[in-house]
Amino acid sequence: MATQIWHILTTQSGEIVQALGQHLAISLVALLIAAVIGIPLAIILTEHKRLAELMLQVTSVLQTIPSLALLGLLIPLVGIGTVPAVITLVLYALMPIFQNTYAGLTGIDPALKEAEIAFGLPRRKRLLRIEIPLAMPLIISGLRIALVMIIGTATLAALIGAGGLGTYILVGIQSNNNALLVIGAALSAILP
Amino acid sequence: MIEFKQVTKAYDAGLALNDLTLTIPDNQVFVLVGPSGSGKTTTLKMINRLIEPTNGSILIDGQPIDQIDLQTLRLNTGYVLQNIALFPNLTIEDNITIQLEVLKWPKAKRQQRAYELLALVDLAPAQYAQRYPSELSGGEQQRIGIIRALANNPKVILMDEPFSALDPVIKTQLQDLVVKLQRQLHNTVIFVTHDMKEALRIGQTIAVMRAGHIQQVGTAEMIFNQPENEFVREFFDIERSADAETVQALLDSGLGQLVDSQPVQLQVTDSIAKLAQKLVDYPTGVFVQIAQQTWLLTMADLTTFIAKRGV
Repeated sequence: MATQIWHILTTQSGEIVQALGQHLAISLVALLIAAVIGIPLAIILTEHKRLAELMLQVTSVLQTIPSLALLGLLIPLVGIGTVPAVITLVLYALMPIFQNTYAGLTGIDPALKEAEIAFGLPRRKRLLRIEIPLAMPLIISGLRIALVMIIGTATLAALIGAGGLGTYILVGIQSNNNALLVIGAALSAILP
Repeated sequence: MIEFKQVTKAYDAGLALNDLTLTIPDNQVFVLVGPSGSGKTTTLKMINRLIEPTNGSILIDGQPIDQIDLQTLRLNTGYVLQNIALFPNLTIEDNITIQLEVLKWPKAKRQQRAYELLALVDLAPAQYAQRYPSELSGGEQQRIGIIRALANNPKVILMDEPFSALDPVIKTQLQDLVVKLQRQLHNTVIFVTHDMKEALRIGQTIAVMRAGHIQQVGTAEMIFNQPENEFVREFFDIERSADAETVQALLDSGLGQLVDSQPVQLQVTDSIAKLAQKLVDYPTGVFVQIAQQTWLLTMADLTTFIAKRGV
């Protein structure tokens, strides 16, 4: 089988790279969208505890929906291809990003919060100069967790015609070609 | 001048402040002292409106503070916390000038001000300005905490038990620093502490509080010589060491036995601590002279005295 793998890698290198590229593209786009929604939302909701708790529950429920099911629900709405794939990935990425950003902002030493308020610093200054920098380690780890999750889940994108490394896994399964299977699976495991 | 007029603060658990009326004059170190739960920190935090009264009003120079723009009020009030609370992600210089950033001072001016303030507390600007809080000792950090409060040259500076968490040597140094700075800058420092010794050391006017009420307001001498009530007297007694009590006090409370003239080992002005030491050497008793009389004081007398009066 090793020779088979080598053969495929050398003859189909162009397609493999393209699949890699698609995989990465979908992943990064989804991460970006999830970050643009999740981080500002967490910032706003630090002032609204009950809504924040609600949001935490909603995002964790989304986590429990199997990715295939989510894809299946979206296809009648938005068709197949990249769009439902990206939407699914965004919904999954929301929880780690929102949760970590919220935890980072609410976990700041209360003495520091008292100080910044007592000094008369306006909200924008407090956020940009003190709170977000202090929350940054947690925000970044949220993004990292989300990225790993997305890259893994993106293999399913292949199922609905969005391309990516999943195609190799699928084709490998369908045509009983273990070499293809191994290449697709290995690359998607290494990528994150 | 800061005035509290019949200020009450009610929580579910009870009244933190109970009909408090107080005037804090300008240009001095004004100390609020009392045990935990006395309301002293609540009183302090009402001045920059971190806590709002349930009833009553607070005025600064005749103007009710709820009519002043909140941000302006706070930008012009210094605040020093017990936990120090320097922002860990900012340099010392940026920590000091954070309020000035809000006031849109240009970078050069801010740096100049930071350097001025560092020099004021004997910290070499070139050495300290670019460091981070975690690199400094507790005492140094609180020095920065103090000058951070002074950045915008406020008329009023609030200090909430700023030295409670520091060791005694540093505490004394910083107490002296606060007094020195107040004399130099002619502002009003309102200082909260539970430590009577600290209050006596630095306070020009001292307000003793208990359970949301003011017990007494006055200078250290006034309070010491004319304590208003038992609570004030006791609060001081707790701080008074055995050295302050003399042998005279034992005789005054009716202890001791009159004896014929003997060589004496102690004077009535000697301290109780000294009496105790002598009784170790002479367990059968010690002779004291007062006004041509000689008295015998025994270990039993000392024990009775301590049991009645406390040490």
